[in-house]
Amino acid sequence: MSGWRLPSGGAIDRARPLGFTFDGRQFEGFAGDTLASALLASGTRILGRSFKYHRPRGLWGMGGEEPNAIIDVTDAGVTTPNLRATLVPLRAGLEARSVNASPTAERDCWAVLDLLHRFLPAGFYYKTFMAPDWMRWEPSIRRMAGLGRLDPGNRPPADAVPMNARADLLVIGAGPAGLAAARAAARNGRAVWLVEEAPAIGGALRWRGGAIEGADWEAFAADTAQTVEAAGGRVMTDTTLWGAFDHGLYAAWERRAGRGDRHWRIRAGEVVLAAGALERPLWFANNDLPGVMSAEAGLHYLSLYGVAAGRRVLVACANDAPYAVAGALAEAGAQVTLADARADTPEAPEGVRLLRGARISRARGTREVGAADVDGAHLDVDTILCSGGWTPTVHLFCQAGGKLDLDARRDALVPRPGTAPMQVAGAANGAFGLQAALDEGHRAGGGTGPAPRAAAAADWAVMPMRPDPASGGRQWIDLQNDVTFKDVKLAAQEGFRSVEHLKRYTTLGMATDQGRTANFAGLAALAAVTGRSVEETGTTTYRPPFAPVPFPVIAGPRRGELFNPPRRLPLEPAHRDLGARWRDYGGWLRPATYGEGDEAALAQAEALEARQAAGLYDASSLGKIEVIGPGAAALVDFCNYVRMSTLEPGRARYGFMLSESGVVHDDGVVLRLAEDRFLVSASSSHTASVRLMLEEARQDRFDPRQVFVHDVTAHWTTLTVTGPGARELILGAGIAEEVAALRFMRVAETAWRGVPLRAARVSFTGDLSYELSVPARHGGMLMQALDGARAAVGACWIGLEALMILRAEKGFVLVGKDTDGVTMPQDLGWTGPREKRTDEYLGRRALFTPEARRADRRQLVGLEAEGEALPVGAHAVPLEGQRRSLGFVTSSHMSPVLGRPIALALVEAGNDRLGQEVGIFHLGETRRARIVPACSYDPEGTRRDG
Amino acid sequence: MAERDAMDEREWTNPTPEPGDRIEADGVTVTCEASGGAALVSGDLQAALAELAPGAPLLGLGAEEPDPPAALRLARDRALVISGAPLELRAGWHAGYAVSPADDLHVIVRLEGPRAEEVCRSGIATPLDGGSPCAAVLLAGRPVIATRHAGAIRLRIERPDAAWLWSLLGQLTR
Repeated sequence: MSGWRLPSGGAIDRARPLGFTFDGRQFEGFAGDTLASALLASGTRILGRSFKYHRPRGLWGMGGEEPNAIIDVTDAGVTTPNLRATLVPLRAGLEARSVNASPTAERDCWAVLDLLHRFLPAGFYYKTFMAPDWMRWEPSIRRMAGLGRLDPGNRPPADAVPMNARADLLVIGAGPAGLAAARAAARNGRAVWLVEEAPAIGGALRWRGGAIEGADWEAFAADTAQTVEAAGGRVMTDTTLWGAFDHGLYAAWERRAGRGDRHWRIRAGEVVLAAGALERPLWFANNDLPGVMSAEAGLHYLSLYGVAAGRRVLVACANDAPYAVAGALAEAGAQVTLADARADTPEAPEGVRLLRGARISRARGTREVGAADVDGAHLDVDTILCSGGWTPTVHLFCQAGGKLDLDARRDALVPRPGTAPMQVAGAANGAFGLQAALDEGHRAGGGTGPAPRAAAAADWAVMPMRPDPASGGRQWIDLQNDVTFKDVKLAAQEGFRSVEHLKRYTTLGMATDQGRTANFAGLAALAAVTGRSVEETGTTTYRPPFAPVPFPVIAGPRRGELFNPPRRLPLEPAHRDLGARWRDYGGWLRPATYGEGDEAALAQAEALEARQAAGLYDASSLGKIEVIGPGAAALVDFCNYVRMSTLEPGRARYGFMLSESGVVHDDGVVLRLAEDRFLVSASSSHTASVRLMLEEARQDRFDPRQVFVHDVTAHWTTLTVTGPGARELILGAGIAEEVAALRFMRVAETAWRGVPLRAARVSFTGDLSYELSVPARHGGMLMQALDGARAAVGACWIGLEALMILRAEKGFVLVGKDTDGVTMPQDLGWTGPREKRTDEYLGRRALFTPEARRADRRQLVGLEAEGEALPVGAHAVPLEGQRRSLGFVTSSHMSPVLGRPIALALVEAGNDRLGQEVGIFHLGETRRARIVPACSYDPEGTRRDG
Repeated sequence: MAERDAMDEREWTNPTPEPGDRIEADGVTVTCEASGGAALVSGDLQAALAELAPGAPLLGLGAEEPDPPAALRLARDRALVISGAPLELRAGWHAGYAVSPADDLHVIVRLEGPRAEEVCRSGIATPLDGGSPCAAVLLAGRPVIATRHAGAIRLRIERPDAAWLWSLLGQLTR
C-alpha cells in the first residue's frame, strides 16, 4: 500500500469522484483517471498473477506496453477480457477483475506453483507431458493457462463502424516529433492525418512538460492541430494505428466513448512514424515484484493524475531521463534515492540523494517491494522506479518490411533508412531528447527553415545495461510470460540459438504485450550466452496487430445475417410462401426442402414424387456466362475439356473446365445460342472463378477484340421442371408446343407472354427436364404459371436435398463434393477428349504426366450396401489384409425409388474393382459394400425423353 | 432472435429490397429505386454507344448521371448502357462489340443526405471523387457500380447481393 494521491495536480477532476470495483472490492477514483492510475492511487499493489508461476505482479508501465496489469473489465454491461489497466478510462460503476488468479490476485491459491519453480523451467511442458499422451493433459493445462476469461453470455454490441480513408501524409504519433512533422507538412499545404494512441496529443510532453518556440508546449501543440485541420487534415486521438500492410494500407482503431468505435483503413501517400520509445526494465533479482515500475511511468502518473508511486522511492538507472522523475517525486514529498550506474552523471535534482556508479542487485520482499540492495547496501524503500534504456517503437516500420541496425551509442535497434516505405522520426528513430525529436520531425514533414526550438536541447546520454550473469536470484526478462535470464541460458544450452526458436521454446515475446519490454533484453541475453552480437542474433518477426484489437472492432457490423453473405434468389419470398426451408449451397441461400417435418423424410418424398410425376426447382443460381464474338468458339474450346466448337447453334453439350493442373474445376452445360455466341453454364459456387478463367484466357491467349465474356447470371430467373410429367406441366403453364417438343440437349430462345424465354432440354436428374429462364423481373410470373399447372400432373416443388438424391441416383457428379483436389476427367470416366483432342486446351498437358497416368488413381464408382445409407467421408478399406484407405464415400443417400442406399465414392483403381466388395470403415466399425457403376438408376437413359 | 440463432443461415430472412423501400436514419436516407433498362456492352464502346445510345456519355466512378441513356464504364472495354425502360436489343455480336441484356442484373439503391458520403466510405475503399474512369468498385467486398444523381449517391448492386448489402447499409447508417 504505497501509492498515494497528491492533494492537487494532474489532469483529473477531483470534484467528480467515480466508484469502481477491483476483484470485488470497492474503490474510488476521479474523472480523468485511468483504471491504472486509480488503482495506483488507492495503494493497491497486486493487480494480477504471472502466467506460469502465479507470482504477484503490479503495475509496470503507462500504456500499451503494460505486461502485468491485464484486467477483465465490465463496463455498462459489456465485458471485455484482457484489457490493460493503463488504457482503460475510469468510469463510474466499472467492474474490474484480475486475470489468471483464483479467487483474487491478492489471495491466489495457485501461488503455490512458485514454490515449485525449480522443477518448471523453460520447455517443461514439452518434455513432461509427452507421456502417456498430450491429449490426457491438455484439458487441465488449458484450464489453467490463458489470461482473461471470455463470458459466453457476453454479447458486445456490433456497433464498430468500418471506415475507409485516404491521407496525403499519415503521421503516426503526436509526440514532439510527430507534432513537428505534422506542422511542417500542413504548413506546406499537405492534408495530414495525425494519429495518436493516447487521449491527447503531446506524447511525453504531457507529463514532462517543456517550452517550444519560447512558449509552453501546449501552445505549440494547439497551433499544430489548428494548422493541420486548416490544411484539410485530421487529428485523431484515442486511436491505435495497429497494422501496416502492403500498398500503403494502414489499420487504425479509434475508440469513441459512448459511441461505436471506428475501424479505419487508411491508404497513405506518405508516412512518418513518430511512435516514440518504450522504457526498458533493469535486470536484478526479483525485478518483478509489485512496486518495481518504469521510471517514466512514475512521472506520467505523478504529472497527469497526481499520483505518487511510493513514499520511499529508489530510482535506478543508467541514463539521464529519470533525473526529472526523481526531482518531481522529491518535490511532491517522496523520499527519493537515485542510483545511477554511471560514474559520470548530471547533478542530483534538488532533494534527491544521488548514488553515482551504483547498481541495484536485488529487490527484497515477498508480495511487494520492501527494500533494495544497491552495491551491497540495504536500502529501505517501498518502490523501485527503473530505467534500463529505451527501445524505439519500430513495430510498424518492421511490419512494413523495415530492417533494424544497432546504434551502440544509444544502445538501441534503430530503423535502417530506406528499408520500409516510411520515414521515422524522434525517439522511434533513436533520437532521445526533445530538440532532437523536433529536428527530426520537422525534417520528416518536409519543413523548410529552422526546426522549432526547445528550451532544453540536450540529447539523453545512455549507458548500455544488460542482465548480470553473475547475479543470484531470478532476473525476469519477460514479465508477461515468466521468462527469466536462466530460461534464456537454458534454451541456448539446449540448442535453441535462433531467436525465433528461443521465442517458441521459452514463450519470450509472446502473448498480449508481444515482448515490448522484454524483447531487447531477451536478444541481448541470447547474444551474450551465445557469444554473438545483438545484430547477429537478430529480432523476431513483427506482425500486426501492434496492440490487441477487440474482435468486435475487426468484425464491425458483420454478425448474424451480415456475417457471411450468401447470395439470394430473386424468388426467395415466393419460395418462403411455399414453405421452403433454407440452407447455404455453394454460397447461395436455396431451398433445402419444402414444408414441415423431418427434413430427410421430406427430401425422400420430394425425390420420389419428382420421379413419379414431376418436380420443380429453382436453378437461378447456376452461372450464366455469355461468350460472344468471332473468337468465341475458340475461347470456349480452349477453356473446356470437351470440344464445344463442333456444336451447332441451338444445341448444348456437357463438359468440364479443368485447372492448369488438369484437375476438374467445374462442370456444366455449354449452350450455343448463335455461331458467335455461347452460354456457359457454371456451377453456382464456381461462377466467379469460371468467369475469371475465361477472362484470363481471353486476355492472354486470344485477340481480346474478337471475343468478350459477360456474366449475366443475376439478370435471369431459371426454373427447372423435371420428371415424366414435365412436358405436360409446361404445356399446362402455357408454354409453347415448340418448347415442349425440344429434343434432348437442344436450346431455344423464344418468348412467352411477351417476355423473353430461353428453354433448354438439359437434365441433372436423368429424367425429362426443361430449364426455363426469363428476366428476373418476370420470374414471379413464370413461377406462378408453373405452380398453377403442377396440381394437374401431381408435381411438387423440390429442394436441393431431393435434387442431390436424384442426381446421385444417376451418378452425376457435384464438382467439389464427388471430386477432390486431384480428380482428373479420366477419373470420372471421361477419357475421350484426353485421347482424341490434339489441340491445346486448359489443363491438357497435366493430363499426361506420370501422376496422371498412374493405374491406381482414385476413380468415381458407385457403392451398393444394405441397411442404412453409408456415411459420407467414410473410407473404403480392403476386407482382408492390412487396413488402408482405398478411397472414400463422396455422396450417400437412401434412394426412395430403389428402396436401398446408394453412394458415390472415389476408389483406388475403382473401375478395375467393379463387382468386388470392400469395407466401409467409419468410427471403428466396418460395413460391407459392393463396388458398382456410378449410375444406379435407369442406366439405359430411358427416362430422359419422358 | 438470439445471436446464436442469428448465425444460422436457415433463419436469415432479410429480404431483397423492392423499389420504394427506404431506410431512414440520422443524416442519410437509403431508397431502393426502380430499374429501367440496361445492357452489358463490350468491345468498341464508341461504336456501341453511337448505335445503341447516341449521345450517351461514358461515365466513371462517382460521375453525375444525366437523364438516360448513359453508359457506366465497368472496364477498359466494357460498359453498362442504361436506359429508362428495358432495352430492345439484339443480344450477341454486333461487328465490333458484344451485347447482353442486363435489365435485371442490378438493384438500384440511392443514398442521400449529409451522411451519404460517410456511409459509402464505410464500405468503399476507393474515393468516389477520385476521378476513376471506371464506375465499378467494391462495396464491402461485393461488386457495385457507384455514380451520383441529383445530389445523391447511386449504387447498382448485383441482384443476388442486394439483400445482404441493403441490411449492411441499414447497419452502417445507424
